[in-house]
Amino acid sequence: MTPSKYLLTLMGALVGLLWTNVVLAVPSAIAGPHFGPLLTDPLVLIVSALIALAMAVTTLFIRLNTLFSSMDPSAPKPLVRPLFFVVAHVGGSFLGGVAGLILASRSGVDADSALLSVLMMSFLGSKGLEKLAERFMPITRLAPEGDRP
Amino acid sequence: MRTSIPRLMVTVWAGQLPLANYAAPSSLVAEAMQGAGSIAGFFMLALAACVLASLVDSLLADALPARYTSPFKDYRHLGFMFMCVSLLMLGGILATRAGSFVLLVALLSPAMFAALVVWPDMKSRHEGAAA
Repeated sequence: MTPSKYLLTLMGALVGLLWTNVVLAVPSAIAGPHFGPLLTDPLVLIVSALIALAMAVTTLFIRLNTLFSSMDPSAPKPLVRPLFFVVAHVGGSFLGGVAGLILASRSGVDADSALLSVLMMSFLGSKGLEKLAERFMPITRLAPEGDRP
Repeated sequence: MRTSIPRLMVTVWAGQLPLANYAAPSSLVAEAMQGAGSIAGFFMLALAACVLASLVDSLLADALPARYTSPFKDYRHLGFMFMCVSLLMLGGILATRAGSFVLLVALLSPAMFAALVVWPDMKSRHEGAAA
């Protein structure tokens, strides 16, 4: 898959994954009273989901930029597993965001600090899952056995 | 694909927020920011920094002759995503303080546009390097 097609596939996958916000909002609303008042505020939930998604896209761009910059333009490496790549970033970001929101809600801070906590935790979650995922499944296809350095 | 005009549009739109906040204390933005706290103040400052960097980038990369190169070219994705996150954080903080979705919606569309601008820009930068 060429980098241009890869970028477009990633964008399509991200649009599909926007719906996970809705899916995540239901358990949050049900579990809200047990974890603190912030989880029952729909405005905080929606902004947190948007921030987590933005952080997932940010880490995705950082990784893609590093990948494209390190490629030899005359012989680009084929890119594989776009859906896996997006799910790793978005999943890590949402898991981190949920953890950040629960931590902030349990510690009784205001909504501003909770959003800041979501921002930082979703970035860390996304980066963490990216590293973990790529350790087991690389997103660039390896060269044939004989051509490897 | 040329992305100079969309980049400039997002920058100008986002730039009017810190400009109104710092240069016109009686404006609606400045009044909303007065009770918004230090986290909102930090993101407003960050937004101003991103806007300034993007304007310098646009001047060097798009307006001046080709012998001038922009040092920010390889960091555009970070600048625009930070702009997007700053707008979302400002929208979220102002909306939660006001208790209304309206302020969030007002800042959501430019935030999404800032994120969308990065796709064609990254594509064109990579294609330019390959050409």
